[in-house]
Amino acid sequence: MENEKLIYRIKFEKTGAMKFIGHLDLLKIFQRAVKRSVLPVAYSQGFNPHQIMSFALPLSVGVESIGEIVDVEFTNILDCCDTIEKFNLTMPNGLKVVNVRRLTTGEKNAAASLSSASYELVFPETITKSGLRKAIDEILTESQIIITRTSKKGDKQVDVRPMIHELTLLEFPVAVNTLIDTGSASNLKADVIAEIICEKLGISYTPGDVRIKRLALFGENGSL
Amino acid sequence: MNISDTLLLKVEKPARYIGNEVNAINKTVEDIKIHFALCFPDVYEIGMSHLGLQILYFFLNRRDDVYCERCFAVWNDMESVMRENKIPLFSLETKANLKEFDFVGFTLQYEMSYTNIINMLDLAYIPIYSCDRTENDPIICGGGPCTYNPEPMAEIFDFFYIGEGEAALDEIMDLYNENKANGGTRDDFLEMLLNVEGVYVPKFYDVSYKLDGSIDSFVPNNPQAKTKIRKVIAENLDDYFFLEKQIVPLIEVVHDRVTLEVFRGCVRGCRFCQAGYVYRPVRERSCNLLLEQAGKLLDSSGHEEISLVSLSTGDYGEFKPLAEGIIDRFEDEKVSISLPSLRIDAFNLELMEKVQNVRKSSLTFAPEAGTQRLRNVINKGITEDEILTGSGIAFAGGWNRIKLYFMLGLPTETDQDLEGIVQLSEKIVEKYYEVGNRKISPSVTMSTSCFIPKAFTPFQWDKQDDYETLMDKQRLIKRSLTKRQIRYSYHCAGTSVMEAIMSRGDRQVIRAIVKAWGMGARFDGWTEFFKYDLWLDAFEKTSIDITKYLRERNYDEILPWEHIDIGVSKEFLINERKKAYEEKTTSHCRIACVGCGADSFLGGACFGE
Ligand code: SF4
Repeated sequence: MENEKLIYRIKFEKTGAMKFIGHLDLLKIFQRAVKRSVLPVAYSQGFNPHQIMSFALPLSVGVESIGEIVDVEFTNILDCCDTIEKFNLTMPNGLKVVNVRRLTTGEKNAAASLSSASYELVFPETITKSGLRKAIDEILTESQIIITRTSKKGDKQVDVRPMIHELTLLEFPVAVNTLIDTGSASNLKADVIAEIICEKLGISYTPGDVRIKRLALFGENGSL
Repeated sequence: MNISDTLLLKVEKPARYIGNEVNAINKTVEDIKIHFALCFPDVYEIGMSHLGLQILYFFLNRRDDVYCERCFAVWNDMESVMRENKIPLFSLETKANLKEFDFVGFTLQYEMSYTNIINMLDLAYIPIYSCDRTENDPIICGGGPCTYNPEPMAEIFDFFYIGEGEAALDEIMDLYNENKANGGTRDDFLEMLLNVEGVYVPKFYDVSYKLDGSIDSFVPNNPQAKTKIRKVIAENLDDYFFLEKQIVPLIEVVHDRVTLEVFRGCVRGCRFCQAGYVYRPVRERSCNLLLEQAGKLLDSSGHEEISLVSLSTGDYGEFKPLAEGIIDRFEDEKVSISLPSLRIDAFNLELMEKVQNVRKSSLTFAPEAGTQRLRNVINKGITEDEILTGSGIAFAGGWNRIKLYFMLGLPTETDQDLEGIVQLSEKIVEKYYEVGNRKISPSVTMSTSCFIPKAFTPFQWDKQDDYETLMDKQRLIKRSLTKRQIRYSYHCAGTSVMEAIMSRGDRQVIRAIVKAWGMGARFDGWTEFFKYDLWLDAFEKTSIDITKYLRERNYDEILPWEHIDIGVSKEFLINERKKAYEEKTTSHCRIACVGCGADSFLGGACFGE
């Protein structure tokens, strides 16, 4: 009875020191938080039962987010407000649940519906606003941007220009917002954008110098 | 202090340095009188798996006037980043520079972490020698198993705390407040400590040496300094502080589980085992209290595993009700129980099968020696028959992996004993083919470490094998091995030799330790970091003859640690050594008290009455 499952979408923030926590550790942190708050989580069958929990998309170490998503299956109906409160009482600083809602019948899980994500990129103070504007304009007028992706199968040349949907300068601070392809079909990482912009600015890119924050995850029908 | 993201992202595991874990303690710094930095001189993942650290952390933090924060040794990538950017060593909770604390307390768990202690002081810009510190420096103190011979580190530490933290740490904190209120100096405080049981302040003692390098005299230079420093213990564990929470790390550590300390001490009296003597007498927690504590620990952590620890958990008087009680309470919550140091018999095997979610994980036996004769010498009360029967039951029950632990270089050992190690392992393989599942083949890991004579054991006078001898013994074992189902793994002989020097070392050894650190030695307990040649070089450069520390000692010689009193008498240890050489065993405490002297802590018999 697929559509009767009690799957809840939990939207959360991962900020501050928590940006240094990798994906597998985050999974453990969530599992323990669920246990501590005694929520009626569903376990998988089989010899080594585990909580039924699936994250939309891993976040790179060093990147913050205010729009993360994990889908969790429970055995009882939850009171959403109460659940938010229970989570936040037991989460470490920097992890904060902001919304809980039950998936509608037939709704695909977050990982399967994901198509794009928006990010904010804050540049170091040494970069001027006009410089940044120029870099963005150049990127947007480019018809293709070829980068080299390294994988086990060897290097591959990829045009990432079609994966960039929006790139706008923010009023304050020296920052940009961007909307890029994310998900299993086509995926671009925010630090690649940061690197491309740095290249246009004529500076070398060091992780951490550009502060990256994921803002939201989107599916075909809008925000997840 | 604030470390930039850019720097943290340069290191392999930045999460080691961020703190912020669940159950870590936050306090308003303004309300605090005493800032205590609790330091573990190894990497985060190891330190955070250590029960003692968790106990002391919550014990000290239960006081409103104390804020205890943590600090671990930084990995080499982080050390480079810190040195390049002049970032001083900082605590995990408030990221404060260690130099600003009132106390910097180290736990001395193994000798091979000594260079890390020196490195941590240096990274904190704190003078490494006690005599160079001023009123602007923290008080540097140490506790833990290595303080039963603290002499190699005597010139580094301002004081050592000998015994269990719960017993006298409060008194020390109170004295510190009192001294501060009176405007006293650090020396005033250290003098006050001379009246506290269990505290050893090295600077108030002078050591002189004979021409052959052995100790000529060890005398107090302060009228208030006691000639013997007696360890302190929590006599009745049920009456003392109880751990109800543990910090839950954000990253994977060595042991991702809560730990339930079932009892302290050990009834067995294996003659090589320092812990078995220095933690006497045995003191058990009551089963009901433990069950209650188990619940609190699991509920507050969200862990899925609980480990029942002690030196020999199966010896706990109420072991069965405890294990069954935990199973009853947590079966539905997917909690598994880990039972290290359990004897393998039918009941325990059934229990293990019930409680461990990794089914048929490997089983462990620690015969320590290859023949019954040598097992009698070391008083390891396990027979070949028990091992073979135990593994037989396990094999019949579907297990196929066994780990065996042995020691090389034990007193009185001959080639026959070494060959016995291989023979016993081979008999276990044969046993498997008699009773086990023939469709899968057995895997037996035969592992040897090197015996190291430790202070306060009957073998504290015995010689330590040198490097070449240990290597020869490892080769002999490798040669004798014929069965391919047996995998042989062995400890590094060089590490053992260095550990042996330090564990029975005197105050002179520190020169070589500091030299080795200066030459780059760090994390010496890690095979990938340890450099034997560097250490030999360090001893050579400081003109310290290592053979002096490996030799057999005389009964009338002053041993470097003899000013410490663990409650077990010297006569008892001498008698045990004589019995060892006569291949006679000693029964364990529950069967009959053999009068070691440790009952003096309790004002009555250890068991019964
Ligand atoms: S006093 Fe007796 S029972 Fe107590 S630890 Fe010593 S030998 Fe064992």
